[in-house]
Amino acid sequence: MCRTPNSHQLSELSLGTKGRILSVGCHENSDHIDERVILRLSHLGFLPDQEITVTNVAPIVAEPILVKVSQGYIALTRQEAALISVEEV
Amino acid sequence: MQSLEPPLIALAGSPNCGKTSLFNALTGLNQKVGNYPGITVDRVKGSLKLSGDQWVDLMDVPGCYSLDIHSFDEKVGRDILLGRFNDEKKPSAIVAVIDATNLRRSLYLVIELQQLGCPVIVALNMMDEAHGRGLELDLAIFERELGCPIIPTVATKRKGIDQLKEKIQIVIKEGRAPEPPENFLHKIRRLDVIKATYTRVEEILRLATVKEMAPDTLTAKIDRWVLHPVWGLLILIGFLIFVFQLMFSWAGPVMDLVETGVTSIQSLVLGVMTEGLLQSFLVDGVIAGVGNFLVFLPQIMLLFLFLLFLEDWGYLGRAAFLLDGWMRKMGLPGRATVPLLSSHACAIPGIMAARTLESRSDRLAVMMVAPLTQCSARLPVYAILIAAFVPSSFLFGFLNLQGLVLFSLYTLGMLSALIMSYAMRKTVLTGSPSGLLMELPPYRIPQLSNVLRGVWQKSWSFVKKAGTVILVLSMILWVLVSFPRNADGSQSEINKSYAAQVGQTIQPVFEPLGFDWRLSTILIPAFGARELAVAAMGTVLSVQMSEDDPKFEGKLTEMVRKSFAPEVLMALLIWFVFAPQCISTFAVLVRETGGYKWPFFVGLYTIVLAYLGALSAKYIAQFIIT
Repeated sequence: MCRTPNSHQLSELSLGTKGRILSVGCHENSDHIDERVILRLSHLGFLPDQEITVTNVAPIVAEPILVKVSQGYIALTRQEAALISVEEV
Repeated sequence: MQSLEPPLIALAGSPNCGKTSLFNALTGLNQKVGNYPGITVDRVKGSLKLSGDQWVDLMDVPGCYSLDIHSFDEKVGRDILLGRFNDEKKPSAIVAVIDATNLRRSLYLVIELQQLGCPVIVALNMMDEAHGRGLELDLAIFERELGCPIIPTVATKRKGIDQLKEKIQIVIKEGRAPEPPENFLHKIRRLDVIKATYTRVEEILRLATVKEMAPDTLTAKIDRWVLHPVWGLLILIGFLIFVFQLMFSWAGPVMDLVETGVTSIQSLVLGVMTEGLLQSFLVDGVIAGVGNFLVFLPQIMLLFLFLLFLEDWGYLGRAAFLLDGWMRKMGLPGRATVPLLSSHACAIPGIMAARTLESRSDRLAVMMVAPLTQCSARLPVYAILIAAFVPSSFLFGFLNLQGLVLFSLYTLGMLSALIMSYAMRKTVLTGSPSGLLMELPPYRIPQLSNVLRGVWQKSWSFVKKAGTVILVLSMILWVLVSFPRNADGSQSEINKSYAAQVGQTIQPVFEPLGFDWRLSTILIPAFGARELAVAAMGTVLSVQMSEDDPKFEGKLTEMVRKSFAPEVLMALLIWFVFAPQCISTFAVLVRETGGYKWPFFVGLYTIVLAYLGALSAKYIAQFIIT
């Protein structure tokens, strides 16, 4: 179970929101999932309990988003961000 | 048993850790430092001299975050490290370069590398930057916990290089580490293993950190502007307009200089050699052909300078971030920004850079549309044509009208590339672009020496690659325009030459575009290399270069203006935007796509686009004029 009452998908967070990662690989909203994307997210430091901040959103199509996680900034598409379940802090 | 070959040391690290700077500092071998994920595509090897006249080979491994690989260049890196890459032997030791300002991600890779079965030495790079932000580490604890030697370095200032060399020497004497576990590659793919590795990283850092590092406030401040929805886009467009104005107006004096140089070499040859076939071959064939190509080298170098500067600064990843959303909708991933921007210098490095993309359909999409971006070989042709029919007036007092026309040609090329990739995704290329997941590096002040070294390398390899083709083609062109000779051996009129005969034969095809036999004739050498069109234009219009007239280009422009109607020149301009006119590009496409099918497809669709585009341009121009 990756959905709890106060959890959100990272893709739903608005600009400037801080959050804590609950789980990676949540895909209740997408029918097909690429295992490699989850691994890559993990390699880049998207792991449970890590703190994240949405720092930028790209113009016009509101995609991709830039997220601060473990000392660095990672750019990701909304589809990728949707795999990460977070709670706001 | 002692082998004669020097031992191999692999230099590994995540993207933007300063690995290539360290490689340069260690070997002195020229190689570009990337501030963009995956810039090191080609395998680069150098030699390193240790004390006592001992030499080792040093291999620069493409950057990656993990050995669980995704893209083609990362796979190359892993295979080198495992000793599975072609004829390369297994490394005797790995130097793992880690970024002191980004320790978590860097150490993750180190722990994976330690399981590979060769000794690991850590080069703790960018220690000055981390220090400046307040980071203090207890190196003794750090070494003990990580279980391998750690040498602090500042590659850009050559600090720690000697200590690193000493350590390499000690480590290769000690010999081998245990072989990797059987299921190693499978294991690093398991989520629980990744989590455990990260937990271990956190623990090591907790023990070794004396004082935490402050966040990078400068990068955050710059990004507030550079990634701003409005300002960010304006800055991006500003950069692009700036570089095209730069190329069109400011490269001028240098180009004049090259031109004068070429002309004086020609007059020198004319002076010392007796008139005849050989003299004509040297002056009109070899020197004119190569000279016309060298003239636009300053523009290529300017573009490379600009791109490499932005790359070292850390901007190119930001440009990809700003553009990814809409490029994705057009069927291209944001990571295609760099290959496509490089294609504006030359399609060949652009097509090669497509290797950094993960999926084959992404690579194909980029390679298929790269020839539509306006490479610098088109510039000499554009320069002549635009000057011939666009007035050199200023719009709003500062925007050069000719520069603006040039800018719209580039925009047209880029737009058609996007539309084409969209159309291909709907038809021949299945699947959608793969994800972004890219780390944006902190801004760093570009090292002038690194940038200049990169400009020199890229320009030189371009001159070597394209220059040979140009030389051969200009010789062929000279034969085509100089023969058949008259009965008395003298040069016949240009309209009786072989080139003109071919031009006259194919002219009916180009009749609807308004091209006469002269323009049809110049299209023939242009299929080999488009910049040859300038020399060919000079030949068919009988513009002679001579000692007392160094201004060949000005004279040619004048002749072009007098000889052709504006709408025909407009059609020719658009023809050059789209037409497949570069043998070298096709050679590279055949190699990179592994066959003739896709290159043939490119040739076909671009020629159709060129024909239809030129036809519409002619009618639109006619409509505007009347």
